[in-house]
Amino acid sequence: MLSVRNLSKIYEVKKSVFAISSTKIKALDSVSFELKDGETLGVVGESGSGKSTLARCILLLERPDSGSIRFKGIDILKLKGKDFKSLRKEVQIVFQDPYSSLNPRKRVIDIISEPILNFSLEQKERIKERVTGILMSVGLDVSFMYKYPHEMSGGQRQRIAIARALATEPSLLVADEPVSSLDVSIQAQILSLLLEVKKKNRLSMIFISHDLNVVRFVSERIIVMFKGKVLEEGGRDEIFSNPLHPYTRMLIAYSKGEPMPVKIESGEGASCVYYQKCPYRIKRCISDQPVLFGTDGHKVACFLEGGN
Amino acid sequence: MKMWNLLKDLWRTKLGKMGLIILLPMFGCAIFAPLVATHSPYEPDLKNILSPPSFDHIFGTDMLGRDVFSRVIYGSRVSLLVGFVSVGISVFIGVVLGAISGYYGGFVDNLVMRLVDLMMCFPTFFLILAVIAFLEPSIWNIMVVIGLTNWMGVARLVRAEILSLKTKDFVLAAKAIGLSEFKIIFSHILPNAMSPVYVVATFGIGGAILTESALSFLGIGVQPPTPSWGNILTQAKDSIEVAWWLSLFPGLAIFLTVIGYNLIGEGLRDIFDPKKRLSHLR
Repeated sequence: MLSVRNLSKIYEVKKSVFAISSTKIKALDSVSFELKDGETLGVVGESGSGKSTLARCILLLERPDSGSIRFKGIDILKLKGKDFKSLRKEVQIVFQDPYSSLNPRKRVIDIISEPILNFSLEQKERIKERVTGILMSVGLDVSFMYKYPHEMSGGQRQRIAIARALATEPSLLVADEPVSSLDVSIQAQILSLLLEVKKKNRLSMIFISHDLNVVRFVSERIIVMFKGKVLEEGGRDEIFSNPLHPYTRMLIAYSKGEPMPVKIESGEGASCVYYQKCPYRIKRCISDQPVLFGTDGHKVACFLEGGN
Repeated sequence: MKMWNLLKDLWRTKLGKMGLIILLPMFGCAIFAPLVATHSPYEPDLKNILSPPSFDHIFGTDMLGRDVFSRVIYGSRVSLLVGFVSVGISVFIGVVLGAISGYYGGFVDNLVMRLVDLMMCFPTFFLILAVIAFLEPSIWNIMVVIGLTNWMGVARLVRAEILSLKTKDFVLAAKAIGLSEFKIIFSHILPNAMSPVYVVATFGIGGAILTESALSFLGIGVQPPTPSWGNILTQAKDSIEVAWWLSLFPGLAIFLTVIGYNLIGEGLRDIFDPKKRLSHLR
């Protein structure tokens, strides 16, 4: 379905207006992964780990600096014109904050019918029935049709955002922290809605979150990111029963409520991105960069596990 | 419907209410001038030259015996027209250039912003004087020239609004559903950037009316016999010692109108201020 190879994105940040040199921040550092048909891939990492940049690159909302993204075998970074537009139909996104992802001046019917009309998926006369159907599928009724975003709750808004994404009948849905800004009680509803629509529409999904428990609930496979790099990749149960990378272990310990001590020491410029916080670091981590290695079922980027 | 809600909100603000109380009757007078005016604004009455305010001529008459009240009423049409058309032109240019500049950034942004800087270097009023000196003075030329020299503030404002709006998720979502850039800018971003533009435009109307009056006063604006508050004042200055009414009433009309627009502008600012925002506006 989706094959990402060595994706890199570097942001240059000037420290002040008058600064001549700029600092380079690697938001994505040769990220590679595969997404199979109908699979849900969870992406875990703390803020600043490059999760959202990854989402935006896959959606082509931002151009990666190097690497390739193949969607159904086509290199999407080279698409132009009509093909580019048809890719937009195939890949959709749900954003984190439903308060900023819906245009405050548009009614629900406008929000949902816009993608439908843009791709001519329905005639104008029958748009109402189409929108009604989509609203039903996200658990809302017709009475929401003419509401403005500010007349709805966070959970309802997020349902509308999901409805908008589904309106183009995509085959890949990228969910960028879709429940992080919602109340805990509503999180579960939105998660099960996502799983339900995924099943019904036979979607593949990339689910991005900082919350390990949430990712565990929805994903079949998980990649763990830190500072733009993939540290570990594997099946959900494999990752949770046998975490290999010190960072993954720490995340799992945290999610169980038993925090592990974290070293925060000097270590600027070390090759391994996790060096500064790693309790198990060895000398080699300073000079060499661990690469992802292992079987298809479980890969890790750490020298402790015997990588090169 | 939206316009009606806006008026209701404006009525709820103190300053906006005062502005509406001043301006709504003026709009009425301008639109229904032939019904409101007691005499023809052009008909000289040589038996009644420079007569002071009376029941027949409530604002008195000028040196040709024309009724000042009727002339002021008809003059309000010019002021209204100039205010709306010239501000319309400047808002249109400012919004389009500001939107393009803010959305595309980079080279285009630099180009537009340097053009703004360039235009701001000219003392506007003298630029207008110079241009009108070349063109024949007419109300249409004035409106166009005032419009063309007043769009810079709007452009800067819209650009700043768009810079902050274009990173919002709903704009990214609009991109993700494959909308054209034209649609993203004009249907998704701009409607959310317009509130401060309305405020600036309202103040701009007041400014444009003042400019028109000044130009007409200098004799290069609206040409007699068409009455405009500015050219009534020009004629009045020759007889100011004997006929105070000839200067007072058109002057008062200018004063009230401009203050009315400024009050409405302040009212709009209160409505759109996120800190004091009224219930249904978000």
